[in-house]
Amino acid sequence: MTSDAAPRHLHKAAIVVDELRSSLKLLGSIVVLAVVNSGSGLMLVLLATTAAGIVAGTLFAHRRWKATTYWVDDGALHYRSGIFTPDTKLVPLARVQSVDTTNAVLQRLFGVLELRVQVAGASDEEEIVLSAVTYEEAARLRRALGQPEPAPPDAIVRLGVRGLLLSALTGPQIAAGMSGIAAVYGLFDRVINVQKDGEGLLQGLHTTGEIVLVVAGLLTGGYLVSFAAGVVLFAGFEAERDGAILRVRRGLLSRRALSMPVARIDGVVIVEGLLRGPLGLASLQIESVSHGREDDVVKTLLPLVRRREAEAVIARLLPALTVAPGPLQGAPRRALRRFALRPILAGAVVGAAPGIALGGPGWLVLPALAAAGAAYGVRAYRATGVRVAGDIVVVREARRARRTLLVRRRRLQEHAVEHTPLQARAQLADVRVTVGSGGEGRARHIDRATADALSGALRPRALA
Amino acid sequence: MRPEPTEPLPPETLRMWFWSAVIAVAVLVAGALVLAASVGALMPWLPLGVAVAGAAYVALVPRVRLRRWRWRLDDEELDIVHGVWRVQRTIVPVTRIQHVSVQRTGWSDRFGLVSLHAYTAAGETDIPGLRRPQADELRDRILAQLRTPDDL
Repeated sequence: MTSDAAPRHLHKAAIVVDELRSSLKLLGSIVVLAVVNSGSGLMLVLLATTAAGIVAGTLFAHRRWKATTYWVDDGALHYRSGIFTPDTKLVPLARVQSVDTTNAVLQRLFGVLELRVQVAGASDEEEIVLSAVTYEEAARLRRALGQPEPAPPDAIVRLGVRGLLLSALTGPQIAAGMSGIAAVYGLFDRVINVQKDGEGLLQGLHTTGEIVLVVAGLLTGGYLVSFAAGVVLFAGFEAERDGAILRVRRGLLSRRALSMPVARIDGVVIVEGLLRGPLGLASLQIESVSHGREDDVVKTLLPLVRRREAEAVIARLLPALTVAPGPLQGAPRRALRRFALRPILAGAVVGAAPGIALGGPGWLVLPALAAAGAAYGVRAYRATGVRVAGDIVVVREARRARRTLLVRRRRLQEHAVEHTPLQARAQLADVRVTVGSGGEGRARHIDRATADALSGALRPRALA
Repeated sequence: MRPEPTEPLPPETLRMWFWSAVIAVAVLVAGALVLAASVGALMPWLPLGVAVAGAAYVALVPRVRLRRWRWRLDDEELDIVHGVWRVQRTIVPVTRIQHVSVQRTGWSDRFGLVSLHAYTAAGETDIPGLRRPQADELRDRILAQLRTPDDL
């Protein structure tokens, strides 16, 4: 049997996985070029170049595989890679924050998975990623890295089919969906433009009705892409805690599993998005140093939860973040106009444009947008609040989404009390708390005395 | 109640900020002159306006900034108050500081100053103008307090 200290290679599937990954990145542009130049001799050259590129890429991936080794020795994980200038990364076991695995379709074919070792404050490039190891090797490595074996869970939360569909329907993947549809549109428009001698889709539109139809089509397409992304990312979602380890599994095509000590989790954010808030729904996100630079999907503790049950679910999965029910100290009444003034002015300025351009009925947009601004301001005023409950600090704010940050007092990296002369005159201040991931909780225009009391409660001496 | 920070920045910092502001305003005025030369209607009001606003900035902002800047380090926290319009009081628990660096540039050397940067997992907090012995002493005091185990 090989010892932990002996250097090991990745599974040979890494050659295929790495090569396919780099090839897929180029595939999109190659397809566009091939379609645009179909029928010309250039297309043959393109295809020949692509084939040569794939062969060279595979040879290169093989060399890279040969040059890549890893081992656990002297209380650290070592990772040596690089063909021309070999480099060894070293992660002390005590600094390992979590071990994530991803099992995509391609990896499933070879019976391997990708293992990602998360380290505090490291970017994606700085993390150690073993792109193909067998299940047995992953289990051995987990043990060697000091991650306990899975045990029967103390608490488990699953997302059922109904929850998954609702989460995808109301999810925040809309932005991703819109950019996806814009990319697809760009591709087709470019193709159509060339095929029709410069007459693109938009140039072919003549009436307002046609433009509205195309915009509605694009929006619907974007929403459908967003829905599909939500389903693919969060299918089979389950979060469980066994002992001191939190495990999160999710994904349809690419099955991703995260496991991290609950002690490494600084806080949780309850996010009530624009679509979810009115339905009494929210999602939960983890705040931890190891996942600070990752996107919101990776940080998801639960993609959908009833808002009134959020604190109870957090208490089950992460008992250290249990917070007793109680009201937040909100912004005083005198702060209301400060919340409302800016959005009203912004609404009025934007709303004046149609009036100036069209005159007459165009001016009706101004009061409508100013009223929308006022509603936005009142919502932010009502949402704002802070609270110290035992070892937990709660900070809530509303911008587009209403965000409630629950964070362990001892894990705050810094906090700040801020005010302008105008706020000082009204005895108001903003409070900002910062967690290790770089994430912030901000409460604006709260009473100055409340802000100072919160700051006082965060003194290390007060925590002792 | 936490005491207010009382340590000011040395007066050389005002000189550094003043001359930085003078150079920035001179560049802006030159840019405004070039722009006004190519768009006749802007002459002479744009360069004049930039010069007047710049002079006010140079006369006021560095002074207010220095007057506001205060810091304090005790056995628990690094406490900083700064800001010209928006006054910020930032408090960093010393146990959260991961490492400290003292940095100098050719520009700060001209004024005999260095800057101190305290890094936490979330980012960095800076004291922009300190005399070298003072910065070294401050860095050593912070490092001496970092000898406690951190559960990051």
